[in-house]
This record gives sequence, structure tokens and C-alpha cells, in this order.
Amino acid sequence: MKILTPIKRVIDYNVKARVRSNGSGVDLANVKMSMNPFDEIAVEEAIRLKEAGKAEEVIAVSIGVKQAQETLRTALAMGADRAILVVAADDVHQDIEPLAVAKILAAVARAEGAGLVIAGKQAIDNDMNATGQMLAALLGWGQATFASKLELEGAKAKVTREVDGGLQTIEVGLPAVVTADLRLNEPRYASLPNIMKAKKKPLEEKTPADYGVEVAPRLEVVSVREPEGRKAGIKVGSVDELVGKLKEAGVI
Amino acid sequence: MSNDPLLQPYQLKHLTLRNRIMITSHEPAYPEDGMPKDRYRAYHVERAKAGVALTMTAGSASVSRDSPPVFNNILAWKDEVVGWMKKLTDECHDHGCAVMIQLTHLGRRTRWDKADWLPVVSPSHEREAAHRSFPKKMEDWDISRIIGDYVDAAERMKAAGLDGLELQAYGHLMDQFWSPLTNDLDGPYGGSLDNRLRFTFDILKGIRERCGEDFILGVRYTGDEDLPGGITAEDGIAISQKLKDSGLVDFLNVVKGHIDTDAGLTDVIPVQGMRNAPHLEFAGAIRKATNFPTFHAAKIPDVPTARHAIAAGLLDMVGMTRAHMADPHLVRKVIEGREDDIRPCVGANYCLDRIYQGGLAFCLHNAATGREETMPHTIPAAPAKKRVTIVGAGPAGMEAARVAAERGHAVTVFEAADQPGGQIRLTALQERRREMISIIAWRQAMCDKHGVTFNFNTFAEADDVLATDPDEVIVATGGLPHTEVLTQGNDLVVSAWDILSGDVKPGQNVLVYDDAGDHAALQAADLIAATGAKVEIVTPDRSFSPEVMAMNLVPYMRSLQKLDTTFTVTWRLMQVARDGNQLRATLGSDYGGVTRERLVDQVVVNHGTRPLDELYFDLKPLSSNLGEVDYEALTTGGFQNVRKNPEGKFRLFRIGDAVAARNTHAAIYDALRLVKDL
Repeated sequence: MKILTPIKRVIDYNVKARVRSNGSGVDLANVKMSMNPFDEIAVEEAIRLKEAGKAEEVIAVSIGVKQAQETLRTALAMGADRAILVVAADDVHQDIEPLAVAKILAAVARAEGAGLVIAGKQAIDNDMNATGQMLAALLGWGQATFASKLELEGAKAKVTREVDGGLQTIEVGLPAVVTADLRLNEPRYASLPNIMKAKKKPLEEKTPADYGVEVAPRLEVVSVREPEGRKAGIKVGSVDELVGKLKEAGVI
Repeated sequence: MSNDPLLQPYQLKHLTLRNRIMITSHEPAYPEDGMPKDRYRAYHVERAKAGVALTMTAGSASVSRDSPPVFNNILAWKDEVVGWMKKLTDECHDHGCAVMIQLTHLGRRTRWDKADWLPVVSPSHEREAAHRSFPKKMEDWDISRIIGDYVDAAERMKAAGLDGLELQAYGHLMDQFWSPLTNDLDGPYGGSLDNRLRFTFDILKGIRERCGEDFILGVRYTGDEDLPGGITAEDGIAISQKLKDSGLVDFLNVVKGHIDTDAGLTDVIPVQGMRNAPHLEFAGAIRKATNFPTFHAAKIPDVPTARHAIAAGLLDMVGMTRAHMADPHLVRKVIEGREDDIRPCVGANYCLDRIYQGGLAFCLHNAATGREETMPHTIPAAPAKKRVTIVGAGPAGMEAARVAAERGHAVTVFEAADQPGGQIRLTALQERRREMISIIAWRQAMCDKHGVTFNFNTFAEADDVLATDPDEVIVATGGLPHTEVLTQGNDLVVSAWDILSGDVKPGQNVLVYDDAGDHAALQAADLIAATGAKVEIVTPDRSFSPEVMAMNLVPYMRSLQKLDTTFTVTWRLMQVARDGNQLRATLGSDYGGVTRERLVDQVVVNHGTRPLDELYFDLKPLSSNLGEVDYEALTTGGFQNVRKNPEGKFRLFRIGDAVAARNTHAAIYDALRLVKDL
């Protein structure tokens, strides 16, 4: 079985995001970019399945700017066998919307004959939480989202999901789309020897046209604003004064 | 006026200390001929300039001939010390920093085969494990002689203009009198607690009479030996109270524990992976019980903890000593509201472990500490802005990037991994070494501040480097583990890195062969043994893990001994062969004539790294200097001027493990001393 792991290049979670001066989005020029952390978990899960003999090949796919090949190299260094980069944008600030991404992924999954897609549950930049679900619908496959545990048994996948107040275990027939939650696993460290091996692994470049998909945006970003800065506080001299001020502010 | 508790002045009798942060006494082992000369002075003055309120010079300045230095201490029994100490004190005073010194007689905590070959003395015959001397049990004339020596040494310090001094009483002669474990004398200096304290009070009285009231006196002492039969916490409170009630001392400087073994010493002065500020509450309890000026230091590496110690009334003065080794400008950064810029102490304890091996104290990741005369703590701007391209974001590359950026150059960094760190990242994967990552995180923050461009996930080739049109290229690509040390079966072994990175799962019955002697072998052994596997560490050396050093070894031993790890010294791994589904390892000996065999399921080899130098050699013919470094200029602070190839458009340098396997300090020093002049 082949496992497809879609990965997205996003602003690194350690970076303090700043809005561009024209208000069109977050400034990504000269900012550290990394693999979406949920996608890293998805890649790790796929590699573990391969190591356990449950899959033959792990293919990492990314859709975005050319620089996403750096991100794919991380997946290859972790242990993915090969990578596909679908170059869909020139400008790092151009985000490809979930529907277009799902359409391309569906085409890749069909072309590769994948038996399982493991994706991150959402990307930490836009928090859409949509691609995995759309992909399952487009492929007509079952879906198991927010997986915190994944077991393959024959033609079925048993997936444990973290839901409010506990755990829910569901079963989906394969092929299926599984989206990874935070506690599914802890992604491995990509060692230098493996980074060097990854250099030699195949990385194929494609375009949306190769899959007959149109990536023009359907949504319009009206404005992006930074959260308002914290206002200066005041110092109070006593508990009574504090209570008074809180009442004044109408919070108690 | 700031309302930061740390920045409030403190009135100690007649002496006003400008804030609450002090450097406690420690011996960086910089004296020359037992004297605190230029290097020593430069070290303290750098810190005085940057705002520390009080610097306590000298760890264990020796008051007597029969207390020969164990780590190049100041010889306070020589009159010539006055001139040197005066020079140091005057310069620190010019910068508003108070200066004191710690005086001591080491008692049994030294060796007889040094200096004048006088017998080591103590109030009993009990030997100290760490220094191995069997002491002479003191006679009456030893006691009166040494009391006189203390008073004379104090007078020298008064003459040198110091603000005061403290007497050392943890593990040295003074508390060898205090502790029932090391005092077998009969009265008047043995027996009851008051008798055991008599030596101390005789000295304090003598100093007070000789030096007068306007000279600050304190004692740095253990308030709880943490040893069965030793000084208990109750004794500690009683001693503290007696010190206060004597009216002879002006402050208490509290320590908890005993230092006669490596493990005891490391609990007193914890290293990375151990708890922060473990004895702070204890010191606070003594302050509360005595209501007397209390100082304390023990792994308080960060400003918030120090601030808490003052704000919560646990201490009057907080010692940030190793923190000041890492960043001498710590106080200035607090004053300027730049706490985030403080170079953090990572508790690697390279400073202390080195002095106990007879070396100078160096900070693992501040190569300017102890080299103030030649290395800058503040990087000066370059005369002209250049394009500097650095390959590799390990400690060497990150230090090169930081220094180049602070000089004002336009810096581009290529890194193969998705994050900076190199070998630091690998070692920091283990909880015990997690603090190491701050070495990288601090540099990353400094680089971000100065606009360094990073290209991660990029295994740079020559073309990538040339595309940046660089003026200077620095190759800091590090190395890869080298494990091919066997006559047969090299393909059957894995490296310590394979284990640490998780690339190879631990076996069940494992031989770890270590002739590098650094952290990687112990880390791998610990990781493997923790899975329940049987582990034997084999080394051809006479002792294991020599590069880890005494205090750093302590947490490993506490773990590995519990896990029943075997240590086998003086055996060399010769070959490995398959034997069914097992591995047969053959051990030989450098002493010759013997072999042994081991049947295991995994062999891990730790033999350092070989440089990853392909890129360097690809670039070398294109560079103007053909990679050559002018060592004369490098070591004396001159500019690099080698020109060998008129066609070359850039200069090429190679630093860190990309040259040869060394350590983090070497990598960072390589970078600083080269790039400060680029």
C-alpha cells in the first residue's frame, strides 16, 4: 500500500507573526518557514506504518511555492520515500485555498493509486481545517479526522479520536483519509546522515495544470489586522481600591 | 528610579551596594605565580563596569604555606598580593563595584605533593576522597600558626583597599573543625559545638582587632552538611545564630551540603539537568531565623529567579556567578530592560569542571570570558560592510553568524536541517542536556535581531554559496560520526548518534565502545539502559569518559549505576563478527597479550566525528586565500591577509568540527576569534 502525506509550508510556530503593511496578510518575506506541525505528525505516522510493514511506500506531496521543496526535504529526511511538489504559486504570500489543494491531492492520490492519505488536521497558518474533509469527499473515501491513534487491520483502519469529554473509536474502510491530531505521535528527529540520504531521494515537480486543476482564489481577503496591543494598567494601593476600580470597569 | 527589587541599593553596615546582584567567590584559576595579575583583573573589571554590585574575588585564597593551591588559587600569605589586589580593587571601585575576597585554609582538601611539600593538616586523620591526602592531625602550634596566618592575610586585604572579606567554611579547614566527622580533637578546639567553633571565632576576633570595624566580615559556610553524623540543619541554624550574636560578622553567605566527593560537590553547585536554585529556600530559612544579612548562590541562572529571591525576602544579596561567566553584562542588560539579550548560563559547568582538572575556567559558550584582554564581549562594528556567507548552523556557524551580524555585515546562513543547532540539537534531545539548546536559541535571537538571512533545509553546494556573491565564506559544516575503528566488522556497528537520534532502536544486550570519552557515549548508554537492556561500556582508556569531567559525570553515574551498567576500562574493541543472530565482539588490550569476547546483540561505537568537508574543498580553489588561515594574526588579534589566488573573489575559512572533531567551546572560540576581525 502507498501512503500519501500532504504537507504544507507554513510560518514557523516560533516566529512572531507580523501583518504586512498593506493589510493583505501575514508578512512571510524573510521569515523562518517550517513544515506544518500537524503534517509532521502525519508524516511520522506514515513512516511508522511503513516500518511496521503495513505500507510499501510513503509519498510526501506539497502544493505551493517552489521553496516548499525545502519542506519536502524534511519529510524525506524523516523517512518518506519520495516527494512531489506541485508548484502553484510564485509569491510566498499567495495561499492556495483548501478546495484547490484537495482537488490536486485527489488527482495525485488517484494517479499514485494511494491506499491511505494521512494529513495534518489543519494548517497552523489559516486554521481552515478543511482540506482533509474535502479530499475525502472528492475521492468518495471514508474519513477519520482528528486521529490520536491509528491502527490498520486488514482493509480497515481503526481510529481513535479525541472528542469533548473522552475518546471515540471509529472504523473506516480503506482507502481512507485520516487527519492527524497533536497526540497521534511525536515526530522523529531528522539526523544529519538521513538528511544526506534524503538529498538523493526523488523529488518530482508538477504544476496544477498537470492535474487539470484551477487554483485561482475563490475567496477574497478583506483585511487582516493584528490583535490590539495591551493597554497600560494602573497600580492600586489597596484591595478596596481594586474592588472599586473593577466595579467601575463593570467587570464585577 | 527603577522599582525592580534587584536594582534597589543595599546598605551593608557602612557600605552601600548599588544593587542586589553579586558575584560570589570562585577561582577561575587565572592567577599567575599565585597573583591576580592582568588577566584576572580584566575579568573582574569587565563585570564591575557592567553594573554588578559586589564582586567577591578569589575562590579560596590561601592564607598559609601548608594550604597549597588545588586549582591555581591566589596566595594571600604573600605580601606581594597587596599590590595586585589594590590594582584590581581600585579599578573595580572606579566603576562603582565593591570588592571583597574569600580567604581560606584548605586543611585536608589539598595535596602534600605540591609547593613546599608540607604535610596536609586537619583536626582529624580522616581523608578527603576528592584530594586523597591522609592529613596530619593538627597540634596546638598548627592551630595558633594558622589563626595568625588568617589575620595576617586579612590585614593584607585591608591594606589593598578591599571593602571586606569572607572566610570559607564548607569542606575546608574551618568547617573541618565544625563537623564531628572531621574533628577528633579534645578541647579547647574539639568536642562541644562551641569548642569546634572556637577556631573560627579566634580568627574573627583577630581579624576584627587588626582590621577594625570599617571592614566588612562574613563567613561562607555550610548550614547543613547533608551527611550522617555531620553538621545538621539544626546545627546550621545554631551556628548562624552564634555568628550573628558574636557581633564579629556583618553577613552570612549560606551553602548547603558537602564537597568532599564529586557527587557532594555537584549537589552544592548543581549542573545542567539538575534543579535550579535548590538551596534558595534553605538560605531563606536561615535569613528568617537570624534576621541577618544573608547572601547565597547555587544555580540561580536566570533573572526572574534572582528577582524572586530578593522580592520574597529570601536573600539580601543574590549570587549569579556562573551566570556572570556566561554574560558579564547581565546587570547592565537588566538595567536597560534588555533581559532577553542576556546570554544564558546553560549549566554545562565547563568552567568548574576545567579548573578541577587544572585548567583555566572558560565558559562553554562565551569564548571571551577569561580572555578579556584579547576577546570582545561587545562586538565592535566593522569598518566596511561585507557579504558573509556561512554554511552550517551548529554552534560554530551560529556564533560566526552572530558575530558577523553584530559587526554590521550582511549575513546569509545555509543549514541542511530544518532548524539550527547541529550537534547541540542532537545532544539536547536528552532531558539531562536540554538546557544546551539555549546556546543556539540565544544566537538565533541575536541573529534575528540583526537581520541574518537563514536558508534551512538547504544542503548547500558550491553553487548555492557562489550565488550569494560573498566576500567571506565560512564553512562550519561539522562532521559525521566515524565508527570504522575495527579490523573486521565495521559494517556491524552503529554510532552513538544513531542511538541518540532514534535512527537505530536500542538492542537488548549492548556493548558501547567509547574511545572519544565525551557525552555521546554516556547519553547513548543511558538511553539504551533505560529501556531495560543490559549495557557494558568498554574503553581502552585508564578511566572512562575523560572529556565529560567530574561534576558532569555525576548525574550520569546516578542513572547508570541504578540501571546496573558495567564499566570496563583498558580494553579495546578489535573486531565484531556475526554469530547466529548475535554479534561476537573481540576485545584486546593496549597492554598486550590478552583477548576477551562478548556475545551481544548490538555494538555502539563512539569515536568522534570526521569533518564534512566536501564543500570546503570544492570552494577552496575558487577562494583568494585558498582556505589558508594566518595563525599569527588569528592568535594575536590581527587581520587575515593571506592572498594566494588573484582570481579568487572571496576568502574562505573553515571552523569547528568541519576542521577536526573538538568540542562546543572550540567551535565557538574558532568563530569568535576569526570573525571579530573579518
